[in-house]
Amino acid sequence: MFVIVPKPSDEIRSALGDRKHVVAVKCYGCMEVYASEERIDECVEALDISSVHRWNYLCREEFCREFAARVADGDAVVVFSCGVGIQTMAGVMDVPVIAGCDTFRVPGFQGLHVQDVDCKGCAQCFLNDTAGICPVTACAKGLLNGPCGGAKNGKCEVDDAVDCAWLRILERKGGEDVAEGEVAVLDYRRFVDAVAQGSK
Amino acid sequence: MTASTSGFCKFVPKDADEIKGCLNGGEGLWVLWCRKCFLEYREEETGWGELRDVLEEAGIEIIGEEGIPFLCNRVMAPPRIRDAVPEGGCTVGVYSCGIGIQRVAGLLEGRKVVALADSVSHARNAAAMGASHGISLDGRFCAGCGQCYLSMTGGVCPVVDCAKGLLNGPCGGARDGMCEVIPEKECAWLKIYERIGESAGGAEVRVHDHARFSVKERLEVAALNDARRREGFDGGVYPREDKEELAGRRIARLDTPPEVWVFLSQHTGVPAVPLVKQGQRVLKGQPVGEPSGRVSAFVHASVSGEVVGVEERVHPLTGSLQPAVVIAADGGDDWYELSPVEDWQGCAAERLVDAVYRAGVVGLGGAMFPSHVKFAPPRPVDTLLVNGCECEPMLAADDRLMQEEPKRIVAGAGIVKRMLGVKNVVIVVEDNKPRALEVLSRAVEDFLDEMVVMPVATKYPQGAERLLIKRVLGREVPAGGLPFDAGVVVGNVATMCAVHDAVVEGRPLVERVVSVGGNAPGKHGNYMVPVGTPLGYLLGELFPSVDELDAYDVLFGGPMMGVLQYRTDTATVKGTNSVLLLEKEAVRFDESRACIRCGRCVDACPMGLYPMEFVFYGERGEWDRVSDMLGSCIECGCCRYVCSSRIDILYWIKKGKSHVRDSA
Repeated sequence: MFVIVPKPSDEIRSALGDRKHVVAVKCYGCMEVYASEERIDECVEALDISSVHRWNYLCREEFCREFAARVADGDAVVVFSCGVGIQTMAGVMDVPVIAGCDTFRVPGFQGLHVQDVDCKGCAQCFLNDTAGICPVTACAKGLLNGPCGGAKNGKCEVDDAVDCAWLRILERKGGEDVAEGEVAVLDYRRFVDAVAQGSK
Repeated sequence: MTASTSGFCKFVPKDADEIKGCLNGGEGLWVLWCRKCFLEYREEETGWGELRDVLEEAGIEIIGEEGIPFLCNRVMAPPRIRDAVPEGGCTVGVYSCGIGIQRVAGLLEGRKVVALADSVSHARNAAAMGASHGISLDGRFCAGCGQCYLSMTGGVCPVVDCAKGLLNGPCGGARDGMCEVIPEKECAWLKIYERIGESAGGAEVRVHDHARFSVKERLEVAALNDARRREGFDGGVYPREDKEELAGRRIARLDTPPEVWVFLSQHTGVPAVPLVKQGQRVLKGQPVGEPSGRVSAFVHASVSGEVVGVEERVHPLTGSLQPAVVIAADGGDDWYELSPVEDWQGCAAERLVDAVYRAGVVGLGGAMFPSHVKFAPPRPVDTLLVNGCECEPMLAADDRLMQEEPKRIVAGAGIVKRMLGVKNVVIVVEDNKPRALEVLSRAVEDFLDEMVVMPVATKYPQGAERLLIKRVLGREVPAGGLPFDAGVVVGNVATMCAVHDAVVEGRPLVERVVSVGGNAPGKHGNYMVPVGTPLGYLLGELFPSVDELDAYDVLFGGPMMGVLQYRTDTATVKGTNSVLLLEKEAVRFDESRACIRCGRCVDACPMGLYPMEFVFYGERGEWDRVSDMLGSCIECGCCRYVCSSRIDILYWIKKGKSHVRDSA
C-alpha cells in the first residue's frame, strides 16, 4: 500500500515559484487508516494557500474531472495524494500541478490490508523455485540465485530490520540443494511483452 | 466507470510446460484460484477456467479446486484457505498474484505449493517494474519511490513511465517518439517535454536516493497501519471526528414547537395504537398511543395542547407516510400525572421493568428497540455494557449528556443492573471524550464494587453492540443471535438516563438531546428537543440563514449511518440523536458505478464480510447468494465510506435486506 509524507515546504515553495493564487487539494480516500491528514494540514499552513479542498480518490480520473470542473480558480494546484493521484490530476488540470508530498510503499498491494509479503509484478514468478518466498522483493538486492554472503546473524546487510531472504528460502527448502538448479536470470523481455499485451 | 479493466489484471497464466516441470509426475494438482481483484466482478472472467482446460489437455490431473476472493487478504483468506485445502496426497497449485501465492505457501509450510501464474504490474504508463496501481483503474502507476518528481516533470512520472527510469532527460534512443525498449509506448521524456515546454533544460541533475525511507521505517508504518485496522476488532475505519465544536456546547432547550407529530411507530416492532381522538386535550407526558404487542412501546404527548388528529406524516426512517398523533401546543408546560416507583431501591425487578414499559423507553442509540423487552432477556446474562462510545463523527449528544448528567446515567445503570440481576456493569467511553470520562469516573466512585468506567481507543463503528462486546469482553455474539446469547445486554447512556427518569421521577420519554450541526451556518449546538418536533420548524429556528437547502444533505444521525431526509415535512423520533446539514459532496455516492474490486471494503468490514458481493449479486438480483452475509451485516457503512468507486453499497444492502424480508 501507499503512504504519503508531505514534502518540506521549501521544496513546494520553490516548485510554486511566484504563483500567487494557489489551491491545495488533499486526497483522503485510502489514507484513513494512516491518519496523515494532520501532517498535511501543518504543511498547508506553512504555505500561502488561497483555498484547501478535501477530495476522495484522486486516483480516479472521473473524480479529478469533477474537481477540475468545480474548483476552476487558482493558477496552480498543490496535490497531496499518492503519485497516482498527482499524475491523474496533472492529466486533467489546465494549470500546473505541484506534488505536495512524497509517496512510499509498504509491502502489499494498495487497497488491501498491509502485507508481510510483496510482489513486484516481474512477470516471471520465481516462487516455484524458492519455496514460496519471493527473492525479487524479499532480498534487498533482488538476487535470484542464492545469498550474497553478506548476512550477519541471519539479518540482511542492507537493512538489519529484515531477515536474509535467501537464508529463509534455504531453510524452507529444508536442505534441498538449490545450487543444482539452473541459474535464474530476470527476463526483462517477458515483462515488456506482458506490458505491451496489457496496453492494448 | 466502464473503461476496460482487463488490462489491469495483475497476473497471467504460466505455460503448461513450465507448470508440468514443477510437478512430481503423476501426482494430482489441487488448485486455489483467486477471484481476481482487477477484473470487474465477473466470475466467468477470472481466467481460471481456460487455464484448467489447458492444464488438463497437457495431461495434468486437477483433483479439486476452490475460488476465494482476495487470496492475499491476511485476515480473511487464511481460515478459508485452511478449510478448503485437503490434508495431503496432492500438490497445491495457486492461481493468483505473487502476494496470494506467498500467502498460501506461508500458510501451508511443508506442503508443495506451485505457482500457476506470473504477476505483472501494468498500466497505461508503466514501463518499469515495481510500480503499483494505487487502487485506480485509470491507468497510472506509482513506484512509491519516496521522492516525487512530478512537479518538475509536468505530472508524467519518469520513474515509472520511462523504461529505464531516467531522471534527467531522454536516453536518446526513442524512434518516432516511441520507446526503444517497449516500442508500443511513447517515450516518457518526450511526453514530459511536451508538458513542461520551455521550462525544460534548466533543472538540476537529479540522483535517486534509495535510502530516503529505510526498510525499518516502512515496516513501522506497516505495523502501525495493521495495528489500527485490528485494534479491538478486525476492520472498522477512522473517519475525521470533527467533534470538538459540539462537544463544548452545553445542552440548551429548544423553544416548544407550535405543533408536534408523535409517530405511532418509533420503535422496533409493531406500531402503537392511538389512545386519543381529534379535539382531545392532552398534557405533556400523557400516553397517546399504547403498545399493540410485546415488542412495541407506548408513545406520549411531548407538549401539552390539543390533538389535531391522527394523520399520516413522512416518517424520517422510512420516508413513507405513517400515522402520527398531531398535537397543537398550547404553550403551557403542564405535565400529566407522574407515577414514580416510590420504593425503587427495594422493589422487585418486575416493577422497574413495568415503569420502563409505561414510560415508552426504547434504545436511544438509534435502533429504538423497546427497553422493557431488552432488559428482561429470555435467559440470564452476567454483564451490562453501558454504551457511551458515540463513535459516529460530528455527534456529541451522548457526550454532552455524560458531561452534564453523569449521576442520572449512573443511577439509571444501577436500576438496569437490578432489572437484569447482573454483577458487572461496564460503562464504555471512547478516549476522544476526556471530559465525559472524567466526570463519569467521579460519578461511579461511590459504586466501585458495582460498576466501572472503561476508556477504549476511538474507532468506528465501535458503538455497534457486537463489536463493543467483542472489544470489551472478548465474546462473540453468534451469527443471527442477540447480545444475550453471549450473556450481555448493551444499553446506550441516554437510555440509562431515560430509565432513571422513568423509574425515579415517573417521567415518560418525551424529549431527548439532539446534536445540531454540520457545515451550514446556523446555531450549532446540543438541544433538548421534544419528540415529534417537525424538521421544518427545527431548520427555521436553528438554521435561519440557510436559504438554499438544496446545497446540503439533511441527515438524521451521523455522517456514517445517518438517514438522508428528502423532505422537511417530517419530524424527529425517539432515536433521532442529531440533525446535520452537510454540504453536498461533489462526488456523490452512486449505486450504479462499477466495482473495480479494490478490496478496501473487505478490509474495512468489521463483520468479516465481502461487501462488494452485495453490489455484484444485487445487480443480478441473486440475493440468495448473499443472504447469510445480509443477516450478519450491521449497516455501519464502513464499506461505503472506503469505496474507491463511491458506490452506494448501503443502497444495495438495504435493498437486499428488504428483499429477504419480503420473501420470508
